[in-house]
Amino acid sequence: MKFFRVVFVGIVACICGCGGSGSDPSPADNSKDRQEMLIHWADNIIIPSYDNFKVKFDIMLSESEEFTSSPSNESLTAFRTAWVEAYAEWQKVELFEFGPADRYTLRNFFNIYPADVAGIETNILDPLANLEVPNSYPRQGFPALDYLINGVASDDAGIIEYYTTGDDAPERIAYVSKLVGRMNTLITNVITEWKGSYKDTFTSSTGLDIGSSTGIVVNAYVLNYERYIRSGKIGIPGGIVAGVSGTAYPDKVEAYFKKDISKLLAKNAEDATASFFNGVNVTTEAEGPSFKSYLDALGAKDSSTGTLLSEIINDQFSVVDSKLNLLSSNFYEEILNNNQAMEDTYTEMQKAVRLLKVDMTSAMSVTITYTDNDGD
Amino acid sequence: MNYLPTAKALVILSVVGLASCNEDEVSHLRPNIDYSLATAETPYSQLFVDANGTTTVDLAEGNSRHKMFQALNYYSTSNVSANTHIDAAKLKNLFTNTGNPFTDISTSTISVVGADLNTADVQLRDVVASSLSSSDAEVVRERMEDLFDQIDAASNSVTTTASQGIAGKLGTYLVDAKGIEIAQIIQKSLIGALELDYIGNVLLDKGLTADNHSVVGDHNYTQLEHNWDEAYGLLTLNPIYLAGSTDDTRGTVEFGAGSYIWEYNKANYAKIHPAFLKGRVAIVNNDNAEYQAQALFIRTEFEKALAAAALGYLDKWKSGTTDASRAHAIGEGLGFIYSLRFAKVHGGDATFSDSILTGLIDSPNGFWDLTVTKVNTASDAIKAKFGL
Repeated sequence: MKFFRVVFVGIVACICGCGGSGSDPSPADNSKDRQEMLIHWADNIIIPSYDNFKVKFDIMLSESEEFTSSPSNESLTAFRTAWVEAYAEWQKVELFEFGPADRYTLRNFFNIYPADVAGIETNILDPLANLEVPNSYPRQGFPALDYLINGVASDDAGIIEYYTTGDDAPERIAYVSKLVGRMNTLITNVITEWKGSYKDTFTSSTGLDIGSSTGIVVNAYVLNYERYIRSGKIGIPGGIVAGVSGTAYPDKVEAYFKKDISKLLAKNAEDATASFFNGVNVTTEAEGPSFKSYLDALGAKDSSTGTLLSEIINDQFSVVDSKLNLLSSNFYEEILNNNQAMEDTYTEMQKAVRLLKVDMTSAMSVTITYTDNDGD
Repeated sequence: MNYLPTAKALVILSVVGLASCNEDEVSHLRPNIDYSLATAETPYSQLFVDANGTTTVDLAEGNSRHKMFQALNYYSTSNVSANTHIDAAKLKNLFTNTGNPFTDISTSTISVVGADLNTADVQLRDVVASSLSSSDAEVVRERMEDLFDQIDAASNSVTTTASQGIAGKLGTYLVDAKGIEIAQIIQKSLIGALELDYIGNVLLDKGLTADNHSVVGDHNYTQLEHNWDEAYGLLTLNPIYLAGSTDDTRGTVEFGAGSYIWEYNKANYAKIHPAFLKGRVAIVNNDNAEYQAQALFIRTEFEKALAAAALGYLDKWKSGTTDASRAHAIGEGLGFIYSLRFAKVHGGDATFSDSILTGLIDSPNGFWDLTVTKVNTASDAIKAKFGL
C-alpha cells in the first residue's frame, strides 16, 4: 500500500517536473493545507474585517457630511466620535496590505503620520493638489483628519471658527470632504476587488514562492508588525532605535492631536496581529487554519525545550500585551513622563518581530522580500 | 509484408549510422564526457581538459570584463560615499579601458588588480549591446556615456540635500534634480546591456554557431568552447556559481547579474550552474541540441530574474517609507526596466522598455511626480510580458 503510493507520487512529480513550467513540487507539499488557510483568511477574516471597517467608515463619512454642511459643536463631536471609531477599526485591516490594498497602497493614503500640517494648509489653498504623490501621504487619511478636527485650534469653539469664519473656511470644508471622499473611493475599490476576482486569485495561488499568496501575506504581516506597530507606534515617537532610546519625538505619536487614543489604536493593532496569527474567525471568534495551525502541522518547535513555536509566539504576544496595558492611554504623555515604559514595550515587540521574521519564516520556508538584500 | 518495411528501416538506420559516424570522425576533437559527471558541486573547469591533460577552459576575458564592471561601479559608489566628485572622463576611460584607468581595489567583495585589467586587452564598451546592429549598439553605448556626464554633473551637488528640482543626496544616495539615482541607472543598465546582452544574446545565442572542430590559434579551446567559457566568466568569478546558497543566504560573493539571479529567481538560481556545466559537456560531446537547450534555459531564467527584479523594486518604491528609500528603489527599478530591452527570449525590445520608462518618469519632476498609478501600470506591463 505504502509502496504504491510512493511510486504514484514519484510519477506525478516526474510529470510535473518534466512538463510544467512552474516551480518544483516539493517533497512535502502542503499546498492543500495552505489553500484551506487562504480560504479561511479571505472568507472569515479579511473580507469580514473590511466589512466591519466599512461600517464604521460609512458612519464617519455621513458624520463628516453633517459636519461639512453645518459645522457646529454637535456635528463636530459626532464626527470626532465616528473618526475615533473608524480609526480604531482601521487598525484591524491595516495589516492586510497585500493584494488589492497593496495595489492601491491603501496604508499610504490612510495612515501615514505625523500629519504634515504645513502641507495640509498648502493643499487646502490648492484645489488641484496632487493627492497621489508620496509627499501627499501625510496630508490625508486619518492623521490629516486628526489635525483637521482636533488640531486646528486649541478648543472646539476655535475649531468651529476655523470652518465657519475666515476667508479660507470654504476651502477648509472642501478639503475635509475631499479627504473623506478619497478614502471612501480607495476602500471601496479594495473591498470590491476582494469580493470580485481577487479572492479566487488569492486562494488559488497556493505555492510558497515569492509572489504566492502565503508568501505575500507573511511578508505583509511581518512588515506591518515590524515597521508600523513596533517602529511606527512605539519606536519612532519614543526615539528607540535598536532597543536604545535616543531623542524622543512625542509629536510623532499616532493621533497626536487627539492624544488620548494612541494606546487604543496600538492595542487594536496588536490584538489584530495576534488574532490573525491564530486564525480567529472575525464573526464566530473560533480559531481556524492559520499560521499557528500551519506551524504546528510542520512540527515547528524549539529544539532544546520542545515547546511549539506557535506557543512561544503566542506567549510573546501576551507579554507585549501586558506591557501595552501598563502604558497611559496617551503615548504623548507616556513618552514625556515615562519613556522607559515605551522602551520596555519596544523590547518585547522586538522579540516578537524576531520570532515572526526569523523563526516563523524559516519554519514555513517563506522568503522575506521586503528588505533590500543587495547591499547597495 | 513485414519484410519490406523492416528492410527499409534497416537501410535508414544504417544511413543515419554512417552519417553520424562520418560526422564523428571529422568533429570529435575530444572524447565524450559522461553527463552524470556534471553535478551541482562540480567546479566549472574541472571536467574539461585536452588530450595532454591541459585545461581547455580560459575564463580570463569574461572575468576581466566582470571586474571592469565592478571597478566602474565602484568608482561611482565610492565617490558618492566619500562625498567626492565623479569625473565623467574617468568613467569613459574605465568603459573603454583607455589610458590605464584601472587601479587596485580591495574590499570585502571586490578584489581588482589594476594592472591586470589595464593589460587585459579587453574593454566593456565594444561588447555592450553587441547583439544589436552597429548603429543601434552605438545608441546604447552613447547613452551610457551620457549617463557618465549626468552623474558627473549630479556629483557637484554631493554635499547638498536633494529635493524636488534640486540635485544632491537623499540619505546616502546621490540623485539628480529629477530625483534619479544615476549610479543605479548605470549599474542596472549594464546588467542588461553588458551582461544579459553579451552572455544571452551573443555568446549563448549567435556564439553557438562558432566552430567546434579545431582549436583557436595556439589555444587549447575551440571557439565554441571559448564562447561558452566567456559567458560563465562574465557572470561569475567563482568556480561554482552560487555554491552553498540557500533561498535566504547567498553562499558566494556575486556581483551584478550574478547576484540578482539569486535574489529574484529563487525557483531556478540553483539550476544555472548545472546548466552551464551540462552545456559545456554537450559542447565537448558535440551534442548540439543539448547545449542549445541549456543556453535557452540560462537565458530564459536570466531574463526572468531581471524582470522580477524590476517588479521587486517597483514594489519597494510602493512600500518605501522615506524619499531616500523610494528614490533608491526606483533608481534600481528604472535601470532594470531599461535592461529588459535585451530580454530577447521574452520578446523584449527598446520600444517595450522605453514606453514603460516614459510612463514612469517622463514628467517635469521625474521621481517626485511618481504615483502608485504610474507604478502599477509599469508593473502590469512587465508582468504581462514575462508571465510573472
